[in-house]
Amino acid sequence: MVVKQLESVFLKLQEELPRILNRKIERKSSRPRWSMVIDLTRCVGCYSCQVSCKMENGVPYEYFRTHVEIIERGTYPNVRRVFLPRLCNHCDNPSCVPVCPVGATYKREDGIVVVDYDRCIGCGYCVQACPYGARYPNPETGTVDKCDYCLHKLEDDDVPACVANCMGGARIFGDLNDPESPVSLILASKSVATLKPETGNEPKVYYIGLEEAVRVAPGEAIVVNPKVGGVVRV
Amino acid sequence: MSSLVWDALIAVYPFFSGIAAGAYITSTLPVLFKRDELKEVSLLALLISWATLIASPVPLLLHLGSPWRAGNIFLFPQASSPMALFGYFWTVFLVLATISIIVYNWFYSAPWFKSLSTVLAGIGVIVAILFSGYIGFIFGSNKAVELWYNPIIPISFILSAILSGLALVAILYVVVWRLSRMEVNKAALNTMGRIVWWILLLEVAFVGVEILVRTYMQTAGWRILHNILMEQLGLSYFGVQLILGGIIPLIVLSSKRATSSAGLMSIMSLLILIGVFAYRWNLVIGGQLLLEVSPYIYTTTTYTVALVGHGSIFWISAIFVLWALLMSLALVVFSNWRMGVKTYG
Repeated sequence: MVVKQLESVFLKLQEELPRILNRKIERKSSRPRWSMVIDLTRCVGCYSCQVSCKMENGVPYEYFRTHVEIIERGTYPNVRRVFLPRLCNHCDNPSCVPVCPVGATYKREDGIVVVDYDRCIGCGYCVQACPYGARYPNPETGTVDKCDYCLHKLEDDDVPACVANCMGGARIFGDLNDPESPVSLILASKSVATLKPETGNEPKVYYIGLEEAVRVAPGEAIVVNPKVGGVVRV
Repeated sequence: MSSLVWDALIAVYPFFSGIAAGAYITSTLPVLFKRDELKEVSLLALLISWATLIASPVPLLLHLGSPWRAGNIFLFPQASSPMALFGYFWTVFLVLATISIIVYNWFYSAPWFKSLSTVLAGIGVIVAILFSGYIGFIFGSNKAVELWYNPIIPISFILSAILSGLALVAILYVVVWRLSRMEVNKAALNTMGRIVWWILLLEVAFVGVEILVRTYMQTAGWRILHNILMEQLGLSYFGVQLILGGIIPLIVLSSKRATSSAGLMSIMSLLILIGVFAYRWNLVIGGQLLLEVSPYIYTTTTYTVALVGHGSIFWISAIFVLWALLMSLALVVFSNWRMGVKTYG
C-alpha cells in the first residue's frame, strides 16, 4: 500500500519536475501578451514569492511589489486559512496610467504596465488611483514603484522571480497570444476569476478558487493578515 | 500607521488654490456683477489671490518624491491626467492675476481701463473656476477611494473655493483697513456677507444631501465610511466642518446686523475659513483612513501629523508663514488699495 502510494508520488513528481525546473519561457508568438494565473488551491502561504521578489528587485523595507495576504475565516472549530497572493494586475484598462500627470507610467504592447523611473515625479496619484493597492511610493528612489513581472529577467526569457520560486507551483506565467502557453491552457480549461472586475479595469491576473477566498458572508468574522491587521466583521 | 501617501501637505494645497480662486472671483464682482460697493476691495482681493497663487505649489513641491523633476509636468504633460492641468491652469491664472494687478494698480485712469478690466475679469473667473474645479475632479473621479468617488465634489470644491476666498477678503478688509486707519464700508461688508451666506447654504445643502443619500443607500463601503465619519473624523467633520464652519455662520449671518458688523463678519469669516480647511483635511486625509486589507475587506487606520519631518507641522507652519509674508509684500508693493473707492470707477 505504502509502496503504491510512494510510486504514485514519484510518478507525479516525474510528470511535474520538468515543468517545475523549467524557468525559461518559450516564445512562440511574435507579439506576446504576458499574463499570470494564481492557483489559490496550490498556494501554501510560504511567502517565497514575496521574499524572492524583494530580493530580486531591491524592494525597500515595509514595502512590497507582491505580497501574500492571509485570511483566517470562520469560528472555532470550523476555521480555515486562505492565502491570497497579490500583485499588479497589469490591467488592460488601467486606472493608474491616464492619471499620471507626466506620462511616466504606461502599458507596453506586451501587456506589462511599467513606470519610467527617469520621468516619474513621485506625486502618488497613480498609487491613489489603483484599486488593487499594487503601487507604493519608493522612499529610496523618490518615485513610485510596482511589479513589472521582473522585466529584466523576462528580457532573458526567464520567468518572474515569484513564479520561479513558488514551491507549490501556484503561480503560472505565460503568453496569452500563445494558445499552447501554460496560462492559455489554464484559461481554456479551468474556471478563473479576477479581482474587482466591477472596476472596469480589466485585470490580467487570473485566480483559480478566488470566489471562495474573498467573498465573505455578512456577519462572518475574519482576520486578515493576523500579524498586522485586526478582526474585521463584514 | 503615521504616514499616508497624500499627507497633510496635500490638504493645504486645495485650501490655498481655493482661496486664490475665490479671492479672484471676489475681485471681479464690481466689474462683472456691478457691485459698486465692492470696488474698494477689488485690488485687495486680487493681491490675496496673487500671493496665495504663488504660495500654492509649495506644499505640492515639498510633497513630491522627486521635486527636482517637477518641471516634467510642464515638459511632458499628459492630457488625460487632471493633475497635468495644474501646469496650464496655474500659469494662465498667475499671468492673468499679475496683469490684473498691474492694470488695477497703475492704469486705473487709462481710457481702456474699463474694457480691459472687464475682459480680464471674464477670462479670470473661468480660469479660477477651472483651477479650483480640477482639484475637485482629481478626488471626485477616483474610483479607488470610497470617500472621494463622488461627482458632487468638483462642484462642492468650486463653491467652497469662492467661500474661502470671500471669507479671507472680508477678514483682511477689516484688519488691513483698521490698521491703516481707513473706514470700513458697511455696505461692502454686507454684500460680501450676503454672498457668503447663499454660497454657504448651497455648500451645507450639498454635504447634507451627500450624507443623507449615502446613509440611505447603505452601500458596501458605507459601514466603514460611517465609522470614519462618525468616529475617526467625528470632531473635525461634524464639529468643525459642518457645525463650526457651516451651521453657526449660516445662522449668525442670516441677520443683516451681523453682515454689517465688522467684528461679527470677521469672526464668522474666520470660522468659515477653518471649516473649509477642515473640509479639505477631512476629504484628503479621511479618504485614506479607509484601509483595504483585502479585496472587499476594509478596516480603518489612523493618521497623526508629525512635529518635524516630511509633511510635518513644522513645514505646514513654514508654508503659512511664507504665505503671510507674500501677502504682506504684495500689499506693500502694490499699495494703490489705500486710495480705495476713489480710484475705480
